[in-house]
Amino acid sequence: MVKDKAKVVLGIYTALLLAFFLAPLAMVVILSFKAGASMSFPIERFSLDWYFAPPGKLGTGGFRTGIFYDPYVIEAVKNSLTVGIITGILAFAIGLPTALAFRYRFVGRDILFYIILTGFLLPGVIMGLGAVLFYKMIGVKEFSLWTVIPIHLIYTLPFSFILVLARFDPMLVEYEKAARALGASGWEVFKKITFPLIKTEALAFFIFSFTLSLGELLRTSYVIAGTGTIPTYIYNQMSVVAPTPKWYAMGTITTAISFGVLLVGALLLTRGARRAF
Amino acid sequence: MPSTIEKLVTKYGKYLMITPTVIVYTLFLIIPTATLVLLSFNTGERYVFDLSKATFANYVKVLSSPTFYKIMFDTFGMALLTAFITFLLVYPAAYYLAFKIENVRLQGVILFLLLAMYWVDWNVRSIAWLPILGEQGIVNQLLMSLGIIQQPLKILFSRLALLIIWVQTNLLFMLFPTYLALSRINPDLIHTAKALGASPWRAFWHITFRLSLSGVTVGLVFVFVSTLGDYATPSLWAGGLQTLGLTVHHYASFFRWPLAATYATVMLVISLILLSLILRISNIKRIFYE
Amino acid sequence: MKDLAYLVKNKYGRTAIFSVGKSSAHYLWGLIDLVAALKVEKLVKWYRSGKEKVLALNGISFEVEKGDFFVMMGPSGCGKSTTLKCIAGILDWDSGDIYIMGRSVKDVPPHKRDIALMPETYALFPHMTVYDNIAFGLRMRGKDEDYIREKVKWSLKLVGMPGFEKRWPNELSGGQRQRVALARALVVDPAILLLDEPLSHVDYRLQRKLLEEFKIIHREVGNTWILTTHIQEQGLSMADTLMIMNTGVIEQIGKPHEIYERPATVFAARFVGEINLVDGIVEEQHGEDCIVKTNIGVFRGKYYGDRELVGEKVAYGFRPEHVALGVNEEYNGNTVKAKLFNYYYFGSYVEFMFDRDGIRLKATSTPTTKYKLGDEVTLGWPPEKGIVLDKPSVIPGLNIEEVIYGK
Repeated sequence: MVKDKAKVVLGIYTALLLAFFLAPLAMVVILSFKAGASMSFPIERFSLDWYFAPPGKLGTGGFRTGIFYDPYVIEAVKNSLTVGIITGILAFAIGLPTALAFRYRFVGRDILFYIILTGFLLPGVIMGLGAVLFYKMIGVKEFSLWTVIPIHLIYTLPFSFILVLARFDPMLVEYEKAARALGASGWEVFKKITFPLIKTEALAFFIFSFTLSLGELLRTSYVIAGTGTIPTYIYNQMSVVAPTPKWYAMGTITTAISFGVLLVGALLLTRGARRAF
Repeated sequence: MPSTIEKLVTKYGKYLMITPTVIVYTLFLIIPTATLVLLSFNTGERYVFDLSKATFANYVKVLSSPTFYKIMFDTFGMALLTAFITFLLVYPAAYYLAFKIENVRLQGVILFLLLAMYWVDWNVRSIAWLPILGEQGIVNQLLMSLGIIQQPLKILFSRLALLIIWVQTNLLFMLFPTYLALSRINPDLIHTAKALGASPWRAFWHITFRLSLSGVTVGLVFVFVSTLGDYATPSLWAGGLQTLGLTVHHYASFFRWPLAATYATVMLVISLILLSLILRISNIKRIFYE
Repeated sequence: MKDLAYLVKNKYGRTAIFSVGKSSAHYLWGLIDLVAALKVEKLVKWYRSGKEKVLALNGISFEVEKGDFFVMMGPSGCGKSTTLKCIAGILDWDSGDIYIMGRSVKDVPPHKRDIALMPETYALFPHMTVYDNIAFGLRMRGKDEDYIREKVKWSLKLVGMPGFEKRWPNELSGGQRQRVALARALVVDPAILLLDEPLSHVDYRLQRKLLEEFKIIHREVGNTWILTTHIQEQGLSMADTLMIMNTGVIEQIGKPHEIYERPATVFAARFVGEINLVDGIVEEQHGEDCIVKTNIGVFRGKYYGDRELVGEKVAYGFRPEHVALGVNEEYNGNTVKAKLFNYYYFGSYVEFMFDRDGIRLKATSTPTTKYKLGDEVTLGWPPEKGIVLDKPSVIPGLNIEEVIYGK
């Protein structure tokens, strides 16, 4: 009998790798509760200041406010959520029909697939720069959330798209045909057969697009103005201002939002999951 | 029975369904990219392409400047190094997940956890290194308390820091394709190899590893392309290192759009070549819709 | 002579280290040609998943002679593939032992056992050419390239595919892949060649052809082959020795015709061929001859076991091919009247389905137009072709009637 030594060794290694991967994040979360302005361990005192301190409590600089009181942070959060939600809805609205169409053959199916994939795989800098030039060329004078949303759409749709494609029940087309042969009209087929079976996929579309949009930085910073989304705001702050644990607090909040939404999504999706991922 | 209208709709319906996506992608991906490439053939600070002033001047300037080659060398070097190190680190873990955990559900859970961590904000992942690699960070504190060094090391704003941060950021880009490739391998192949005389290690090397290479290549390319385009991380943490992405960003922020476009086009060409490579190798579309 | 070669090979060609004493004695023993190629001893295997466990092998024991074409046959889930995989070393077992060429392989990994496997799915390495696939085992054993080239050529010729060296697995048809898989296993010259359901996924015509080829190759190469199948015809036609399995136990081992003509249990009788069965009670028993009283008549038959059966409930069986149709009063054998309710024409023979008091009886005969549906026909069969079976199965606790008429 050959014992599986490899399993144990590899298991330990994987756990260590996971720790390497997650440790920084854990530290961000922990350190966000640290009192004082230094960014490192040790933590002398725990405090919720970076979240909740009203202006003035921690010092005079505007960046020394707890994030829930900082008007800029609040605005950034609002922007991120707005962009995220709209992107999610749009991604779902145009992406799901496309995924459904992909089950059939049509002219240009392969090309479209590659183009969609490129939206996600193309380096952010290229897309950001291209977007700026494009907007300027068509005469857009000022940037706003609406200039951001299409870019996020391009970037987030592909991921949801392939995920949903992979999860489609291959029998779906057969069910539809059977319903047709039994006399149902096109709309009825969709309402009664297709939609119930793809409900979770539809939700997945929204969730993944939403969370991807929340974390996007490289493309966004080209086409935004003002406070921006959470990632752009943090990036701008980081380039300019001395670091404080406030950044950790902001990071923790974004993590919490993304993770929470994803958890909900995953729970919904694993009901009836046939394989991992 | 479907009416004529319905028949028409079903036949052309799918084109209808893809139209919005096609429009969006043409408008916001294809055209912007084309605009970018076109603009690289102008000079100065213009941001709209002028055909009459089209010239190769920028390309000449860029391709003949030694700085360009230094930048490319640095960028490629870091990208390759990142890709390779990520591969080494990730492979054993991907193998463990694919082969050693029998419960498929558990595999999914772990992958999901990793995925969730990826979704976290770009910056968060990098600032997380401050308390570790910073001057007052854990590493320095540890080394100093052990007496190995007197002064804190300036790890953070250097290539090393960039490498570490990039590796951590891109772990997942590497893990998923590798894991997928490994999990697709038919275990019968490995059993048969053993039953034909291969020791476990040789069975792994000749069969498992060789068969996983397609996934590994995909992962390598993903990591490579992702590091090419990342300007945020190097700008914050790499000290003075100039990467290609950073250069594009640099010129753009000074409104030297055509020059930025030139560098961007170079990056574009490289990225497209690499991406088409993996599309051919891994036959992605077969996995997803055929 | 093969044993001498084996011993010499071991002494000079292998890097394995044998312990002094028991193993060496076994090898010397092997020289005298008394040791079996394979010995399975009280093998027990459980399949565990979570909290549940299923018994796959219930302490089975059997031996396989050197040079034998040994077929393990049984329905799905009977344990034949499990046994094969334990022999190959890709499955561990819970208790008992397996000896290959007299040597226990309990702690020996598969690549150190003198075996080669041809799996059910052929498992050709997709990233290697036919040549590299076949060369694989030889390369693992460190043979030099000239030797390998010769051997690959030999093996491809043997399986009827000369010149296929440079092809890729995905270019081959199913039958071709199978042959390459066979060549790959043969070329290694193993003491025991293991084949897992080699003909189960091949269409009927090809099955016959491959079957014949297997036998020819086996005779030429001369090592021991162990093969599993669930298709009854294959077991009967291919095996030198046949082993019938049923949910983790061995129903019967023997030569095919022994099992067919003298099955030990109802299960074995059914598995190797068609048989008409009816339950009854033994009225008289004289040596092998018995008289059994059933609901449809009193019949004479043979009993090949060693128990006293008078007064016992038994199954009485007779095979369709021994039934004569329309016998008259002078017929000196068992008879029963029954009504024809269906028939199936197969070209060279016809299957007639009769009914007597709710009991279905099948008879096969050369085509005849003498009978129409609904006719009452007298069927007859010789007394020595009637079989008396006292055991429904090796598995204890089964009810004869349930086994005959189905649960």
